[in-house]
Amino acid sequence: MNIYLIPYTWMRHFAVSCYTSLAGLAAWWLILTVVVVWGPRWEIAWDGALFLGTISAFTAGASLLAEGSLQRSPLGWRALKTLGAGALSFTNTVIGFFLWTDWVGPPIVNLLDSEAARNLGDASLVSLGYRLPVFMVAGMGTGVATAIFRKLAGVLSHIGAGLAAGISGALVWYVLGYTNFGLGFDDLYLASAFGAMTFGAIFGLFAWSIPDSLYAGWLRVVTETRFARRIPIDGLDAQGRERFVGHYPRGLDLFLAAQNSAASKAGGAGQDRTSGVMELHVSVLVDADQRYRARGLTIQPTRVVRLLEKINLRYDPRLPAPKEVVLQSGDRIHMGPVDANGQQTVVEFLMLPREEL
Amino acid sequence: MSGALAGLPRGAVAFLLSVLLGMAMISGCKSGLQPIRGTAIRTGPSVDVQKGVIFHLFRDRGDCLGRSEIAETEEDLAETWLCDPFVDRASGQVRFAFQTQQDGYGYPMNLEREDLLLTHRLQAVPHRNMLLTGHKPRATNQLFILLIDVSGSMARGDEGFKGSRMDRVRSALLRNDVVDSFFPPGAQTAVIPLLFSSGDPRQLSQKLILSTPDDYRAAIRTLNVGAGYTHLYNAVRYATGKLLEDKSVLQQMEGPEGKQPVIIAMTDGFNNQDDMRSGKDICRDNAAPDRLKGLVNDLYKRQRDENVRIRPTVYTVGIGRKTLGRGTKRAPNRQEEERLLAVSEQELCGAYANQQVDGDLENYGVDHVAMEWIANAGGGQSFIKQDGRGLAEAFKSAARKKYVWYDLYYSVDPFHLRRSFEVKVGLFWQNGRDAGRMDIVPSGWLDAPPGQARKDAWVMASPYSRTLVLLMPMVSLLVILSYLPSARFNLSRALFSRIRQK
Repeated sequence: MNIYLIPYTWMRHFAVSCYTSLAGLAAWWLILTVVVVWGPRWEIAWDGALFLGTISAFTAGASLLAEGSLQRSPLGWRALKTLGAGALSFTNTVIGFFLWTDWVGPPIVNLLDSEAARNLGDASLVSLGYRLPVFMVAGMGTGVATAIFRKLAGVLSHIGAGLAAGISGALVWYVLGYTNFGLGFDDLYLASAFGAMTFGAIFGLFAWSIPDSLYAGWLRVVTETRFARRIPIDGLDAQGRERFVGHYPRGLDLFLAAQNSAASKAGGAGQDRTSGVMELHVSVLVDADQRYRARGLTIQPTRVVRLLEKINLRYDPRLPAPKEVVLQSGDRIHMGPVDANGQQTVVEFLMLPREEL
Repeated sequence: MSGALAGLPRGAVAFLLSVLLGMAMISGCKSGLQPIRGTAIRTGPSVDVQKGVIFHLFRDRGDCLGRSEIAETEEDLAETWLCDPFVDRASGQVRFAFQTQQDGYGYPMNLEREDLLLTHRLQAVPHRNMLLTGHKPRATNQLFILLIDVSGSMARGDEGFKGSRMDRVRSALLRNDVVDSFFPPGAQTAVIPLLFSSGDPRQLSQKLILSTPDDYRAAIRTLNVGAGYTHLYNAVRYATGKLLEDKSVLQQMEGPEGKQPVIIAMTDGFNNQDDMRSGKDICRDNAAPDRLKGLVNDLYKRQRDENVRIRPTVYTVGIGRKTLGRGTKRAPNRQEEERLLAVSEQELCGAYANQQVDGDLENYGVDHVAMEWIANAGGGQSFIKQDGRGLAEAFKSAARKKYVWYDLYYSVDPFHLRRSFEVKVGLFWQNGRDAGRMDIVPSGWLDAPPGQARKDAWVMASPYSRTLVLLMPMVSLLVILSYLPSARFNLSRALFSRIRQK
């Protein structure tokens, strides 16, 4: 995984999910290969433990590997964490599996129905009722293992993600392979593949999302004069910063010309050539919590424009402090009036990978 | 990472590993299941009955290869992949292979699917849901008893066919392939040709039992139309009763190399005796207890009675067309025992119940329902053919070969394959007393790729490489999806002129 390929949009939340889903698919293929090519040489009671354990191990490993890749942690640590999380997750799942099927499950199920207790012990039975608990155990095992390797940060969300992954994986595995639902697959070939993918996808989606700290805010000029010129808001440290935009010739972070070039080229006598950008027009600041805000510093028109929203930041002398608004990636800041050619000075706020700093 | 390791101290690692190993040991008690390569199933040990002729189900290919009579040549070896049991949950099909054995040695038998009683989890599988294929044919010692209708109607011709019905029967019986199937190399066979019309059948030639192809050809050449009614049921009853008690015939069937009696009854119309009080036979008369009903009950009981030593197989061949518009489209099969033995007028005749046979009903075609009824009760098959080639095929089918081993496909509702199951197969007539059985255990978690359908709609295992058909597109899709956000981001920025200046 590469942070450069994951733009700061809502879709970034699915990037890790895609990756862990791929890991689930790879786990399914590995276990299927072993079963079909070499034959299942273990006892049948181990079928489910190995199937779920492999998916769990691959998913946990992929989650840790994704994090390590995005944060560019050293390769050795990355590999160690990946393998460690995989091994621990596998162990958790196998132990949890047998705890349920051999020790905890039978007495509980026996209270309800003795026939059901026998069914629980039938390793060849394809049934959601008897298999859902072990899928959930696999999910919890994955969640606990990854949480441990993340220094127990968000341990509850990891366990919750694991439970969600287990339940959704079990549902997909069962529904796609159940004859009476008539969904086209009457066996456990595609059902097991999609079940494993769903397990990985849901765990990746909920357990760990790409943190904002991997991105930094930038201001980028969109209008013709100084087009594409950009400056970062953040510094290399995690301290607050304030960047100023205007045409003050010295000492400003982003200089914008007071005259726009289109008007200059036209050069007609009496034509207004000013862009309306003031010496200190607007400032963009970031605080220690990595929230970005724009402040309007002039009485000249200043607007933040985003989809279905326009926010007026023009300085109001009657107020004790300038107006400010929290910025989102993709917001445009329109400065000065629209000139005779219909042009206006615009800069945009973008979140880009911090590595670019 | 140091924090992560702190969260998982060495003691905990050792504890988890020891628990894991403990579980492996506890769950490692041997279940005696054998994995089948290329599938996600396991098989339990094959359980045979200890005495007499038994059905031995092959557990896997190795079980098959361990028997020298099965894998003698390269061609034999190429077929042994069928010995591996196969379960295709998608189509609900199961395949396994078996061998009939006696005292531990192969005992080739000639079997049709109708001869088998197959149960899946103690539930009988209908014969129509089975496909039985024999492997390694062996010629069988058989005694063919030909019952040939010589009533007046056999002299008639049919539109579109050369010669009379009798001419077609004669030429079919004289075809080289038919003669070869009656007298196959490596087997001791004989033919008893009998003519029937009214009363008991009579010999075609001076010699009752023809043991050489030349004798047979010479006798068949003399075949000609006679006169009288069509006492078909009497003829079959005679061939399966009085004739088999004849000393010379009995001699043919005795001993370890004794010939197995196969009766082939051929006619072009309906059973017509005209001995009822009404004078002329009507269709419903044929359902009477002393006619078809009695015959069917006799044949069926003889097949099922374990004290009966000689069990003739009865085939019926109709020369002509089926009489359509009858009460039932097909006669009950062996699994529909109650209906088979009841022989109701409604099922036999339908709307024709009161129609006269002689000069009326027999002109519509062959009594295919009664013929199928007789064959089903007699353990054989029924054929309705008009042309010489069709008749020859029917005769050849009756001259069956024995096979050293068989593979058997059957289909059930895929729902019944969602846990381990026992398959049990034996002779239908033995009511499963000689059955072999085996547990088949599909994986409770995943399946190998679904089988590939053959031309006959039965499926065979797909190669493992077929998993790539699913894997590669899914991997590609996920890789594409992972690039999709950046592609969408750049595209939208390009469309709104954020990347290039206007």
